[in-house]
Amino acid sequence: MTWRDLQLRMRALLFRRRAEEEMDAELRFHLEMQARKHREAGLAELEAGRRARQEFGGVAQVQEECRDGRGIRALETLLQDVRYALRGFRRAPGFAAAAVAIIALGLGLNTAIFTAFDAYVLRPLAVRDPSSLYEFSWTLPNGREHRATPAEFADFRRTSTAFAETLGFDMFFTRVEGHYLFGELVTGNYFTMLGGDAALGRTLTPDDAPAPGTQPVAVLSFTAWKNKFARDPEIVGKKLVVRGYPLTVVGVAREGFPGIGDLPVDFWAPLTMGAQLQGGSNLQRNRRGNIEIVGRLRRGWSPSRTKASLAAWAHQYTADSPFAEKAVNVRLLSRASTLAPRTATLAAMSSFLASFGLVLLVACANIANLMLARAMARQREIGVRLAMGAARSRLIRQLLTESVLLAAAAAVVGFGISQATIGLAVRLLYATTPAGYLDALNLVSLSPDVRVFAFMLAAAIAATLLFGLMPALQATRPNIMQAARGEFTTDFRPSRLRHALVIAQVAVSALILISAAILLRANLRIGGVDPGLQSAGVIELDVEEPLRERVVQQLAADSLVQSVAAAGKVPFMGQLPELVVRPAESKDRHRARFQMASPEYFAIFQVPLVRGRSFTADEARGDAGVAVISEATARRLFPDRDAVGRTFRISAPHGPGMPMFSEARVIGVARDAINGWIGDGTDSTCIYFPTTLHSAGTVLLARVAGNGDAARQRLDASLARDIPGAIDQIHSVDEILAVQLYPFRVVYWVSAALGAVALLLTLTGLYGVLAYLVAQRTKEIGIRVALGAGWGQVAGLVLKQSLRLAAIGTAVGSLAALGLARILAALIPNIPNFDAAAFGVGMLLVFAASVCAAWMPSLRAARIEPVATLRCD
Amino acid sequence: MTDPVLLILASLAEGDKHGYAMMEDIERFAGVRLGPGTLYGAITRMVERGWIRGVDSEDRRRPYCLTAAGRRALEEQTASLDQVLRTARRRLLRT
Repeated sequence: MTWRDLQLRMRALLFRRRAEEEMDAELRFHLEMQARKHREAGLAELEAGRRARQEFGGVAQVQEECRDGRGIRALETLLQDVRYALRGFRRAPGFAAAAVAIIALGLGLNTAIFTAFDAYVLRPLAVRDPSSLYEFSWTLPNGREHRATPAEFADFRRTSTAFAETLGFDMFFTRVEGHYLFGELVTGNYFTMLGGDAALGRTLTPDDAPAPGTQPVAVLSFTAWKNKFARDPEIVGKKLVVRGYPLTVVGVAREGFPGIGDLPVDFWAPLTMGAQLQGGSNLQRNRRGNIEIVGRLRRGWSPSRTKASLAAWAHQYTADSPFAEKAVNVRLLSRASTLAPRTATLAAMSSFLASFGLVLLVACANIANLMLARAMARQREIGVRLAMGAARSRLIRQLLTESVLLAAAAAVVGFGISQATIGLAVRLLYATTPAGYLDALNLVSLSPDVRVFAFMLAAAIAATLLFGLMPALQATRPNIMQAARGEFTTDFRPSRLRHALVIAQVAVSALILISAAILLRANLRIGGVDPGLQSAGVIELDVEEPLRERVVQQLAADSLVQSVAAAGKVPFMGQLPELVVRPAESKDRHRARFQMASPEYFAIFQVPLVRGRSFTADEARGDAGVAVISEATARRLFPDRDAVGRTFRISAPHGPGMPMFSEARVIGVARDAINGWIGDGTDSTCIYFPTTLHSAGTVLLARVAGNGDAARQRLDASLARDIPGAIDQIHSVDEILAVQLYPFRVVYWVSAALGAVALLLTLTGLYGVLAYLVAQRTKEIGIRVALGAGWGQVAGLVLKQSLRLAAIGTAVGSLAALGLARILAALIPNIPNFDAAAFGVGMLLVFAASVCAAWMPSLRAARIEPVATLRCD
Repeated sequence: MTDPVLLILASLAEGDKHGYAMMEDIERFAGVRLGPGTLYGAITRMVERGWIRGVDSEDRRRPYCLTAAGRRALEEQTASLDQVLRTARRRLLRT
């Protein structure tokens, strides 16, 4: 169709009435001319007219041919169907409102979750040519991903030709002037390669990184400048103290420049400042390799070709490395969007999308049942139209038009629901995030874009087909012969389809509710586990090394502080590091986790020593070859004897954060506790090696009196006042635990909310089916009552139907939940393959809802008056 | 191009006519009587294609006239038919 054709069709549509009038006039004239011709031939007037009409044929058919010639048939039919549908909605506003509301809820929730998915995974970064940016890393024989050290990165840039240009970055989290910020150490070409301009001052250039530690400069992001530095117009030239080092702000990046990273970046500094800001003697930060390499594909090179080149480079580069450090595979991930499409990320996002999609399915099944009931009520009309020659496809199109209008209205309302849902979710996120981490919340923009609108459109179309097509197909199958005989009964009951829809709803509800129950119990399990140590009232302080001594002195003098200890890492924050040990009397080697702990550690966390003693101050200061081991470790290394007094050899490279001796003697056995990640449960092994409050790289732990959060703030304020810049981060250990548990809680809350929505929709769907059933069987129930059936028997009839549908749906849903439970068990800790209590709770909820749904219809059935129903027959 | 369309274009090539007059004219020169449905359906399609257009008229008779595009279409079609006829005659003479 050309533009001219479209213009003609639009004109024909807009001036349709005039065209019809002209056509009518023309045809009338034609008939008159024909009649006149016959009169002139000698026929009487009446006969001439009759002959003319006979020769002309059907006027209506001629008119139809003319209309077909205009090429707007389809549009005219569509307009007719729309008007007809709107008239129908005006006659049944309750049905229309309910249908729009239910579908809008499903569409709105799905659009909300898709908006988040789009913002983090699909939306291209606002950088130059994001689709050509790829992150490179290689994997080690143990399956772990290796990130480059500064030396490896420099070698890569010098020797690899896989990328057209390469940048490196290392993200870290710190506090600056009381604000938690995400910073990135970046190569000098970062901004030029990504096309990041400055809104104020300038961005970083290669001249800013001539040699390590020589150019302490920084560029702020526009968002950080706006939200955390109050859009200070004099910010350029000011100094920001980052981890004890003053960085001069040389510029603010343009608005909307996101940088590259899994989270929005607040500031950038040269990678050559890494030793000062990330490494050095600080154990928390001196990670062996953490530079992320991002390159731009060469023109004409595909990702697979680039990956092959990188694999060849990685194998050749690590050929002479020890086996444990050889590259066995390479990873090339697109960096076009905020979150790189890692398997774990996509799996988590997909499961969320699928869960929300199930709720939309339930909503569609609900409306399909309503549409079916409505269509059944129009059987007489449909039968007559089919008998008069209407094509089935024409009727189906008309019924689908109703569905399209409902879906369109639902899409508009659903968009509003999605925006409201997103707003509510963000507010809830801010309201429930532990207070000490609120400042660190850094969300990308969740505003809708073209992809979100396209998703809404696709979802609305899918919903239309799902809830509109089946009822349309079903309703246009009435028996023509019956209609031809004038028998327009409503005997045609597609109960099988209706029941199948309800069973599907019940199954999905059961699946979601059982999943929510599984997650709830996992939450309770994780949250209720005894960590074996008292974390309440303990504050963790991440100290700047040059100021450590002053901080230790101040803490010792503070009346709020009851005791101070030091540790390699704070409990609950990630897994403990590992090394290989061998008991002296055995040849067996064991991998064991370890924690550096000062003598005060056990007292501060109230971890009892069940055998032996803790470290003395001299042992801690002198790096004596002693260790305290956990009960589980004692059982593993020394199964049949008292571990105290035994020795074991340590196979681990010496270095910061590692024990400085090759052999250790066990001086005590501590009660099992959780020093590592809370999700792993009690440490399977834990060896405590001695350290001191003054050892570089350890975190300080202070037990305080009173309310932990208030104490944290007071302590933070006093240290910031007396020793500015001394504390990088300060959190209560309880807050650290809460943050570790938070994602599990979010997953549970979301699944519980979805389960509630699905259950409510299922309840209404079940109620609709049962109400229809009672209406259909009114005569039968009337007869039963007349023959002596009691209230209980009649109500039982309805209830039995409800429970039958619920039983089948629950069985199907439970089977699906069995499979889902195994997936959850593989992804989330503390979830068994089969949690009988969770299954029981989920199924019970569904059955309870089914009984509730049957309540009103049962009452209605029980109140049926047999005299009235039989008289109406 | 269908026969009715060719016949209508040929009829209008002589001058403006309304639908009934076209039918009579076509019956005279081609011996074909187009039914009203065929005639008016073709007229509507040709108006849509821009080959003919209605001429404003005071009474119910609405004459149509050939447009420049319609004239070109008729010329092309007649040239094509002419080619076919000449080829057919030539071959008939040979046999």
